[in-house]
Amino acid sequence: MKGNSKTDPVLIALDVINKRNASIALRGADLLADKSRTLLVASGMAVVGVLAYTAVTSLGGSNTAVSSAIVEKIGSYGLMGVAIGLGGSIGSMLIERAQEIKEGLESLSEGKKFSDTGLSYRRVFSGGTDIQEELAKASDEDVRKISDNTQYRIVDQNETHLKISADNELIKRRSLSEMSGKLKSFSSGESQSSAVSSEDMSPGN
Amino acid sequence: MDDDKNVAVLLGHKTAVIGQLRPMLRDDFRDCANRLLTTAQGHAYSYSNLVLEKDTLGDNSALMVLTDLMRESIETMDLFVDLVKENLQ
Repeated sequence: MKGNSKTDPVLIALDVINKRNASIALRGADLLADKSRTLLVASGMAVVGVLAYTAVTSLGGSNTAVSSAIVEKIGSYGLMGVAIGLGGSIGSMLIERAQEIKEGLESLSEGKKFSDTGLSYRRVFSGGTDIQEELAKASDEDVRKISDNTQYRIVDQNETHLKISADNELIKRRSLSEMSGKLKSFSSGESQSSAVSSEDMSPGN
Repeated sequence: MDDDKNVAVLLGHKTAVIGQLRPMLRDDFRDCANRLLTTAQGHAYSYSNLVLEKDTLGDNSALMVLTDLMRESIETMDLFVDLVKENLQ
């Protein structure tokens, strides 16, 4: 387990997994940034709708012909200008972030490490603080909560979280104590003659 | 159950497994586990939003892309768990 980082197959495998995960994270963030831009346009259109309605009702009253004329006079250009003005500052931030993500993906495809992209995972998803730093300081209990929360957020959509929770209990009871001793030995560099079976690792057991 | 829900539930399972393995891993494995969990957390955030969009607007195109990304994450998590297991032998 202890060897040159350039030749140790385990470290190479870990690097591959890290790069693959980084690529997935960046593409996920790109998807979300793209979706945020769509939502921004939708929000802008909603604001335009409200402004147009207000203008029409205050100036034209209940006269449909006058209302239509006013809408025509104000024109889509003016209203679009309002939408662009409102969305401009937020939009430029989103575009800037999307550009960073694009550059990050290009860096990965050139073989650079995720850390060389200048992005953190947390920034990729929410633009907040660096989750790697948070996790480094977090206790195991905190991390377990993050894991549980992630799982809950996903399965809550499917109303199957009770089943998942039951499965988790089974994992804890049956597999964890077994794996614990073996993994600790592994971490300290001792070889083990027996491995944890795939059944032990599967969530259903 | 819809395909995206199946994948999301499976991702939830994998997240739980890695979350429970994490305290027992050495530093470089633990860092990798952190990153996998962070990505899964991002997927969870995206999934919540995109399901809402699918339900309200009927547009599931982004959700389909996310489902593919979640599948890739599951494969990557499986690779990680396999790597941990291989190094126990």
